[in-house]
Amino acid sequence: MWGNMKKFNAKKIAYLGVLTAMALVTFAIENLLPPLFLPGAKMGLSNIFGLFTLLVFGWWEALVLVTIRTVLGCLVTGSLSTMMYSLPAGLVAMAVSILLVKVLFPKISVVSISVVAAVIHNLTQNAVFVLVSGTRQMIFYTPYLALIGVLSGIIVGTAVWFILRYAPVSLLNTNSE
Amino acid sequence: MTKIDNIKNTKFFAKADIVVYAFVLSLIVLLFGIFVWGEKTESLTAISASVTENGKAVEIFTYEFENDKITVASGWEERITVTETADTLEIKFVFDDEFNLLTISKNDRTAIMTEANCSFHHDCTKFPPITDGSGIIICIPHGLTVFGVGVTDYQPNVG
Repeated sequence: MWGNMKKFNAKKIAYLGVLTAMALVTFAIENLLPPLFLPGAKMGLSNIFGLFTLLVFGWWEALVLVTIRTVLGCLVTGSLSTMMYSLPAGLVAMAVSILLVKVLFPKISVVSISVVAAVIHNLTQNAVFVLVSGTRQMIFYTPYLALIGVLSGIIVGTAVWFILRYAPVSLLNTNSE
Repeated sequence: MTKIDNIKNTKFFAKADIVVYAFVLSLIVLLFGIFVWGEKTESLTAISASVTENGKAVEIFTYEFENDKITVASGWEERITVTETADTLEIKFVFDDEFNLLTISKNDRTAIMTEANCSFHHDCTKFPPITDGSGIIICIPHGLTVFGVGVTDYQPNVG
């Protein structure tokens, strides 16, 4: 952890600040859109910035971005009650992404990492909701939420793949001063 | 190859993705098998509503289809108003300045949240109608849960 912290420089901090702000704005805008097929289901477009950060910067920076985006996003949108479901789901999904990137990337594509992360995110969120609210009937939504996760994972993964592919190298080189 | 080259040249689809997608597909089929296809649906005998008070779910309303009987918990008479027509019941749950309007169809044995002013999207009105014992509608901002009661769970305890 501290090894990663030492690598922080002015450019990197500014870069991460911009990415966090973009993730936050996307989160807030997406909150204004109607739900996707099921109540509360979203595309999770702000995860584009989380996955991008993980691949370009590293696991520590990605975890920090997800935490700040979720906490501030829930505060900004006034949906504080959703924080207790969104935060564990975001962190678990990011942990799975980190594991896949460390162990299997680039043998597997960015899109497949995104699909797995999105499915895990939705399953975790619903499981936490069922436990916290005590509404066992909500467990029946689990398979549908997994399907929505596949769809959102493909969209997020494709967006990240395009950004990585077509963004100039100077934009992705985060270690230079 | 540097890290940047590595991520820039990553393929949109890699051969090993087949294994990942097969795993995800198997997981989804398994979940459908457990929670959708394998679930025995029970016909609806009643519609109940509960709110969370001091961390506990308290039943505040029940409608029994068989006896056409409405029960409202004591202390909630002022906040739950029922409008009845030949086939439908409209139940308005009032929470300070806000409300949820639940419509129960007696003949079809269904219940749906038709109106609410709880949140920006009124998520509770987007829930599918309750048609069997496993159906549920949740309004998170109001802490209101409306659920179907199946044959085995049927034991009125509102009052």
